[in-house]
Amino acid sequence: MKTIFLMCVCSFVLLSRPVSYPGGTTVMIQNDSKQNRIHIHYSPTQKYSIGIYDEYVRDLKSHNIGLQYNRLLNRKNSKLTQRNFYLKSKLGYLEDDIFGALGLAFDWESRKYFISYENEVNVNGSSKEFIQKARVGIAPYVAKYGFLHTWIMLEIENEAKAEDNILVSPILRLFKGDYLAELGLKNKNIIFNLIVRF
Amino acid sequence: MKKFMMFSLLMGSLFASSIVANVEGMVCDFCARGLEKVFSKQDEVASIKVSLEKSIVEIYFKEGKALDDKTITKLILGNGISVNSIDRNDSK
Repeated sequence: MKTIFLMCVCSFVLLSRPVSYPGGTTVMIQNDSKQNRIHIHYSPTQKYSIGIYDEYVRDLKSHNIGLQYNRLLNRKNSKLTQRNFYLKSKLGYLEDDIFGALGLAFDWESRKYFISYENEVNVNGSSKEFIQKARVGIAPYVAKYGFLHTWIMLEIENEAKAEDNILVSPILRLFKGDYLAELGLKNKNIIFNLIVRF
Repeated sequence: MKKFMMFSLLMGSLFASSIVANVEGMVCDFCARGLEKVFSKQDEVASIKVSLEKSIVEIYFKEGKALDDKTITKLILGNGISVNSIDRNDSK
């Protein structure tokens, strides 16, 4: 049961940078065949964010509720690109056990290309799970600031214990101002993600 | 002479009506929006204009007000964006 849960719950979000501008609040919503997830975080500085999350796991009809802390480990800027390394951690509670997760995330992007990788180790009671995700993306056109940005992305997800341990998902990302939405297909099921920054 | 130069620099800074900051790492709207929000909270700032294409941030100050280069650099760096240079357009 725990293994099933972990395989469901560890569909961690690889949407966007997990830290905002100083004083910024971000709401991240993720929906797919396995779960509905909401994560609200606040960034006191651009170095870290603290937040709460609630993951509803459809198969178990159970919630994993907890705290999430993300930290920017390193950033490198150039005229046309940005590269980041992040540490991400979660501490939650579900099914009468403590849930803990720790992971590293990397992203590199220009206005035309996007690459990211993220991994995570989950622990819930005596069960452990390791998953990793990678994304590549390309913008078919380069939009000006404030206009609609469009990205075509491909995500590859690997869950060590899952039956289908490699999933490939095409994703369309639409991005304008404070809003970022994603529509995709994972294992024949629809993905819908939304990020709003305040 | 050194004091005179520092005084001139300070006065120039204070009477600047706008600046253009050449930045690095500003690759998406979220980065730009963050800068807009942070600078909009500053009393001295009348408006801000961002160009992702040119990697520049233009800041227009209210009459008789300005932010010095050190403060501008600190606010931009605080958003995770690097500053290459700041060019001033003095009104006086």
